Order: sequence, then C-alpha cells, then structure tokens
Amino acid sequence: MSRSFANKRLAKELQKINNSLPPGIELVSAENFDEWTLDIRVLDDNPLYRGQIHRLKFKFGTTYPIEPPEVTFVNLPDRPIPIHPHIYSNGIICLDLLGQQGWSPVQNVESVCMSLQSMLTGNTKNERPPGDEEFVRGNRLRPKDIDFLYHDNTV
Amino acid sequence: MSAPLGDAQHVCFICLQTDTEEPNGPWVNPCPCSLEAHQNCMLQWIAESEYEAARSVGSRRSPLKCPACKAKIRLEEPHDNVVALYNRFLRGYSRVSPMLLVSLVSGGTVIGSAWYGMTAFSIFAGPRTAMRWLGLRPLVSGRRDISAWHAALSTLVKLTQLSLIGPTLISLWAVPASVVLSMPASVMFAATLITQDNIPSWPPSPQWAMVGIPYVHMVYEFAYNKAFSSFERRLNRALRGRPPTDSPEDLAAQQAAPAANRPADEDRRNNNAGAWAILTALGGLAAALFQDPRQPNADGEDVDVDGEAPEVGHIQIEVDIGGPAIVEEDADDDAEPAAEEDEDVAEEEGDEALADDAGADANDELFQIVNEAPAADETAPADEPAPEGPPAQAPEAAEQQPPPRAARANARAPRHRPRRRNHRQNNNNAANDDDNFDAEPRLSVFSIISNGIATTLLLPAISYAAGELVRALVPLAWTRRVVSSGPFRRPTLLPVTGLLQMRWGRSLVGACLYYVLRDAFSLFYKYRKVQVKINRRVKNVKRKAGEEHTAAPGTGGTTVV
Repeated sequence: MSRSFANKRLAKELQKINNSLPPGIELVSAENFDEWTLDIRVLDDNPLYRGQIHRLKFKFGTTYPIEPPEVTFVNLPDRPIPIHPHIYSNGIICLDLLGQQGWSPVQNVESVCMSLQSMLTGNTKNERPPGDEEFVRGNRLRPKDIDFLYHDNTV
Repeated sequence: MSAPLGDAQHVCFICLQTDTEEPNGPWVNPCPCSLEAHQNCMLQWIAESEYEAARSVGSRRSPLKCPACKAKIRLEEPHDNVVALYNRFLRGYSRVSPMLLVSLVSGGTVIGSAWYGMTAFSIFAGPRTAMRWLGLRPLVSGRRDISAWHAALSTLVKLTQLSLIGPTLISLWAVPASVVLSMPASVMFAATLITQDNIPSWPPSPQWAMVGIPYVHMVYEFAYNKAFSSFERRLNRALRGRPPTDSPEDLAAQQAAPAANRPADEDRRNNNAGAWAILTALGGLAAALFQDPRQPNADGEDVDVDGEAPEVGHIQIEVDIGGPAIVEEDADDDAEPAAEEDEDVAEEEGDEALADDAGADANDELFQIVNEAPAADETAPADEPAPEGPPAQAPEAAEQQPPPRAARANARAPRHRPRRRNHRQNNNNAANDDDNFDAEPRLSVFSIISNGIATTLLLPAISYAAGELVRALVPLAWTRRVVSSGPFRRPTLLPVTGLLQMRWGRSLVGACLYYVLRDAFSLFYKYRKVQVKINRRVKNVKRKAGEEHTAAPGTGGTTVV
C-alpha cells in the first residue's frame, strides 16, 4: 500500500476539516500527511476540565485508514493532559476505538476527536489509570503496540 | 467538501474518493446500509483484519462486520481444491489431535503403570506366580479348555488390572480416609467368598488374607494404643517443652485440654490408616493374583488346614507383627513435623517387644529414662539397656516368633550403638558449632509428597525385602515346603502348610513387619528427639576478650567485670 493511499484519504479529510469542524475542536497544524495536531475542549461545565484546552497529536501510518492513527495528548504549558481514568499522564490514551480491534475505516480524525471529547465530557473521576506512574516510568512501547485491556465500559 | 452522498455520487468509505475522482475502481455494497467502498479498498481492509485476527491467537475474532450497521460482510472466493482440502484437513486434524494426544499419553501411562504393576507383583509374589497368573503359560502351552483367544483376552484384562496397582496405591496414600471403607468391604468380601464355597482355611488364601488385614490392623491399633499411647503422649508433651512427668495437676490439665495432645495422635492415626489401606490393597493384589479359579493349587496357595495350633500361632505372629506396625507411615509423617529417617529402626523393636509384652512397665521404665536424661549428660547408658536385645527377648520367647525377634534385636543392636554415639556427638558439635546439620529438615510440600509417593510405590519391594528378612529369621521349617521325607527348596507337589511358605505370604507378613518397625522407629525417633531437647542449651555469644558484658543468665560462664 503506497503512501498515496493514505495521503489521498487524508487530503479528503483535511478538506472537510477545513470546511467545518464541530464546536470545541480546532485544527492546529496539518503541514503534512504524517502528523496533525488538534485542540479539543470540553463544551459543558465539567469541573474537571473547565477552562482547559487539550492538544491532540495524530500520527498516520501508510496504511491509514485501514489501520488506526496513533493518537496521544501532548503536554504543553497551556495544554495540560486531561485527567481521566483512561488517559495516562504521558498522554497515552486507552480507547478501544484507537486499537486494532475497535478501529474501522469509517472512523476519521474528526470522529476520533469527537469521541475523545465526549469521553472527557462524561467523566466524573478525578483520577489516572491504575498503575499510571509505573506505566509512565517503564513504558518504551509505541501506543499501538500496547495491549490495552478494554474491560471498563463505564467511562 | 462534504460527501455528496445523496445523489448518484458514490463515496468509498475507506479512501473517501468519489467515483468522479476514482472512476476506474469497481464498487461494492456489501451490507444493507448505504456504506459503499471500492472493491480494492474493501479487500485491503479485510486482508488486514484477517491478518490481525490470525495474529491474535486465541481471542476469537468475530467475522468481519460493516462498521456502521454491523451486518456481516460476505466474501466470494473461487474454489481452490488445494486450499480447501488442506483447510478441511487442518480443521479435522485440530479436532482429532487432542484425542490423539490423550490416547498417546494415556496409552503410555497405562503401559507404564502396567509395567509397574507387573514388577510390583513379581516382587511381591514371585515372578513365576505372576507370569502364571497373567495367563501367559496357557497361551504358550495351549492348555486345557481355555481357548487361546480367551486366554489372550483375560491376559489383557489382567494387564489392565496390573496397570491400576500403582494409581491405587498412590490414591490410598493420598486419601487415607479410604480405610474407613476397608472394614465393611472386608466383611462383604468375606461374605462373597463364603457364598462361593470358599471357606477360610489355614494357611489362608490370599482372598482371606485380604479379608483379615483390616482386623489385624484394628487389633494392632488397639494394642498400640494400649501400650504406647500414654508414652507417646508424654513424648509429645515433652517435645512441646512441658514437663515430661505427669503430675496430678498435669493430668488434670491434660484431661481438661486434651486437644493439645491430640494432633500428633491424630496424625499418626491417619497415616496409619493410609498405610493399612495400602496393605489391604496389596492383599487385594495378592488375592487378584490367585483369583483365577482354573489354577487353584498352582501355587499351592490354599490347601488343607494343618490343625488349629499353627493357625492360632500364626495369627498371633501376625498380630504381634502387625501390632507395632504403624511405623513407616510415620516416617512419611516425619516429613511434616520433623522428618528423619537416618536413625535405625531396629532399636525400637526391642523397646517395642518389651513394652508390648510388659506394657505399662516398659512405659514407665522408658519414661524414667526420659526423666533422668536432663540430669545425666550421657543419656546413653541410661536408655540403652531398654532397647537392647536381652530384655526384649524374654517376653518374646513366650510368643510365637521368638527366634526372629531376638535375632533381629541382636543383629541390630550393634549397629545402633555407634550411631547413637555419633548422634550424641553431633549434638555436642551442634552445641559448639554454629550450624547444626542434624537439625530437622523443613520439608517442602513437594518433598513431602514425593517422599510419600516414592515410599508407597516401593512398598511391594519393601514388603518383599522384609519378607525375605522374615524368611531368614524364622526357622527353616516355617518357610520350607516339605516333600514326604526330605525338605526341598520349592517343591510344588505337597500342599503348603503355612503362610510363610509362600512368597506372597512372606511379603504380606513382611509388610506388616515393616509397618511395625516403622511405627517403632518413629516412636523411638520421637523419644530421641525428646532426649535432644532436654539436653540442649541456649548458647552464649562469644565475646571478644576485653569486652565487658554480663553473661546471659543461664549456664555459660562469661566474664563479668
């Protein structure tokens, strides 16, 4: 599969994103078809995320959209990593949508952002995933190589 | 640009291209909903999904579904004979292979345990007997009415029985509670025998021997308890650091809280139960060996009674032997509380005989020894007289089996003494040195189990060895079969007149003897342990010269400045 396959698709997506994006989601940069960054914020009054904006980084492989993009939160001075029981403090997200099992080509950058947005909106727990510190200290794997167990459907 | 889905415009949900942008690709519409895609994109996605599914072995992936409406996506493939054939083969083979494996393993296990059973049996009852029982002989000689086919079948059945011997022994060892069943089972078995016109005779047939074992066991237990339970209880108390003497208050306390002393007793009992159940099984083995009605006198097993006297005598012997029998199981048992096998068994035998006959006296005597021990540093002189031959012999003489016992006691006594001395020495060393090699090993569960199983599986051989020992020790007349005038080694013509004339009988008696010795030794071991405990001292730390410290209160003299 050639790079052009992913590029064509991403070009299409970019076109659409430039046209319109749902509220709370903004494209920050999309200079190439390897890596995009977007900002998302929670729309309602969730006290956990009030006034915060979070930076998302998308990395696309050559097989996108057959394979999911690698999506992480980025920690910047004004862009904290949201606190959530499925988001590690290094920005790695445990979401089945982003795994091989949950992903399907109907998903796209926009839908992933919306999913993450609603994931934050619905959260009430002010906590990191169990074993966060250890994971953050020890993890050398890329997010896509981590075998998350999607056992918790409540959050 | 939003997808102009409404019109005739196609949009591939994978690459997001419309048919104007990508006019050449064939389109597919794999599901009821409006999602459509390029054939190629779709196939790419499907191949990737299949790869992922294959990679994650175990987690079964549901068939590919439309991501929007979850309808199953169907594929159409050209039929390929090779692929189809191999897939079918693979599917069938996967179904068969577990069974194949199970049958291989179980076949190997059966053969292995049949081999064990055969070996155990040949050792226990003699190779010739075992072979004959297996029915190999009629097979070869085309004997009588048994058709070869029938013989082969029965041989097969017997091989199966043999293969059960090992597992049975182990399960009896593992579940000593099964002894509970042995009594009613033996009664029922006896009833069956009688309905088959199989009347008990002397010497007993293996069947009847088997029937008798639970009773021998019972009698033995009773005798043991009568003779030794209070002694053992006191030893247990001593091991726990209680004063060994039973002052009235102690007795009262003991009665008030008997639980303290129970566990050890219970342990012993359970283990014995297991041991005796195993013995019963061995008897069963012997019984099965001779069950073939077509060759009744072949081994001269059951024949006429030689009159009452011998029978009584023999039973006595057996009871007597059976009496102290408990030992080996205890050795196993040792494993848990305080395993130790290195000491010699025999010694206790003397003790035992003594105590067995003289009952309470012996107890007291031994007990006094225990009491004396702390006073005298050298315990040996005090306790040695008791176990040694002479006193033991006297009461034995009254019994049926005087020579063997005496002989044994004598035979072992010398072996003992050096050992004891060593032991004592070691203890002293232990007191001097830092590490004590004599310390009771703390056995892991694994070694407890492996000790137990190994001992159990070796039991037939042990029985045989003990049986040979019996043979060596009892008068020749007991173990030899006689032909009219002169004695011969193994004449088959004349009926046997005693249990010990048959190898299986000797083995059985040997097994009883072995249990007795084991019990005796474990009691003795406990006794010695008490001695050790009584004589031990807390060590003082070695101080460097010049250091000023008061001695710890106790024995050692440390300098006080």
